[in-house]
Amino acid sequence: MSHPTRRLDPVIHQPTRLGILTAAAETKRIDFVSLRDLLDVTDGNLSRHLTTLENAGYIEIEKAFEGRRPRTWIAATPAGRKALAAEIAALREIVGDADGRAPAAKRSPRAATG
Amino acid sequence: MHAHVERHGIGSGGRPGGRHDDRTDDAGASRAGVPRQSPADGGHAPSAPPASDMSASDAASRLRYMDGVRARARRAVLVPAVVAVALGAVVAVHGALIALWPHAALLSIAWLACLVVARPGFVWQRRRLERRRGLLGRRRLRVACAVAGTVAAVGAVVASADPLVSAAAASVALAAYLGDVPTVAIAALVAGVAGELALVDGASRPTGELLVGAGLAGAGLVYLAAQRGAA
Repeated sequence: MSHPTRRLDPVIHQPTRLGILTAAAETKRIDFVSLRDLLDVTDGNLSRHLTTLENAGYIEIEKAFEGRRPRTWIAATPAGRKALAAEIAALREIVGDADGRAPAAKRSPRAATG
Repeated sequence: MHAHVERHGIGSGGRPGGRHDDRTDDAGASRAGVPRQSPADGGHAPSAPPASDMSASDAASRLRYMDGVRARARRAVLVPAVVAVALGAVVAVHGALIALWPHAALLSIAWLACLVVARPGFVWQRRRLERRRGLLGRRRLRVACAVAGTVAAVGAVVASADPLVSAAAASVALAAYLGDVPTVAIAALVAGVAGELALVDGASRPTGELLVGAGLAGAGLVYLAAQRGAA
């Protein structure tokens, strides 16, 4: 089994993209403005990260007009949900590995330092 | 409604032949229904060390940040304070009605029938609000709250308690817990348990329902007022 850091996805490793995918996975659809407010990021920053996630196939972006007003909706794809679940599992494993090592290090400091 | 829908990337131009600028969106300003990030929610996005340098504390900070985002998204979807006010009003009105017309079983059936008949209207209103807020919730969150209410109601029937009180308190408590609003969750649990204990101690059902309804609605209103004050 590879080390969990090797299983971290470079596309969603970036924190803002991780936040976008988390929010999108938690909702059926979320619009651009709500996502921007939720994550407290700028329009340009959010657009850039959305493009990266869309290119990776992790989100779907739908632009719609309601009356004469444009609205951008974002939804997580099945691949995006799967990637998010794998990322969470890897992060938990990293935390769990450290938690598992800490008591051993306390019991035998020499063993930890070799 | 949608006059025109198309799929393409951000920045590639939303309007056919023109530039799409999200800042000119119908809600270019901040949207009131969406909770903003705060330090209590896990703070802003953590720093991004390369994946190979990810330490346990970095990973824990990343997981905390995700929990914060998830809780805010759920809070925006479930609106637990509004649910507390709505269900509190339902319980209180039911209590008032059975005080005025003490045919409890018949009234409960009529009340449930009214709710079933009115359901399409509720669904329409919910979808309208979700579209306006820019957040369409996933079905599983609402189903989880409904299941909690149903289980609590069945438990109350088995224990000869008030099913309406238990169902409302359990649904509100779970919605508030999922949305990371502990004050409303605790208030709902306290109101539900206190109401059921009062009924066991011999209080009349209308009195118990009025008190629990007022407790739930009060908790929701206090939270909403506090949020408005903070904004």
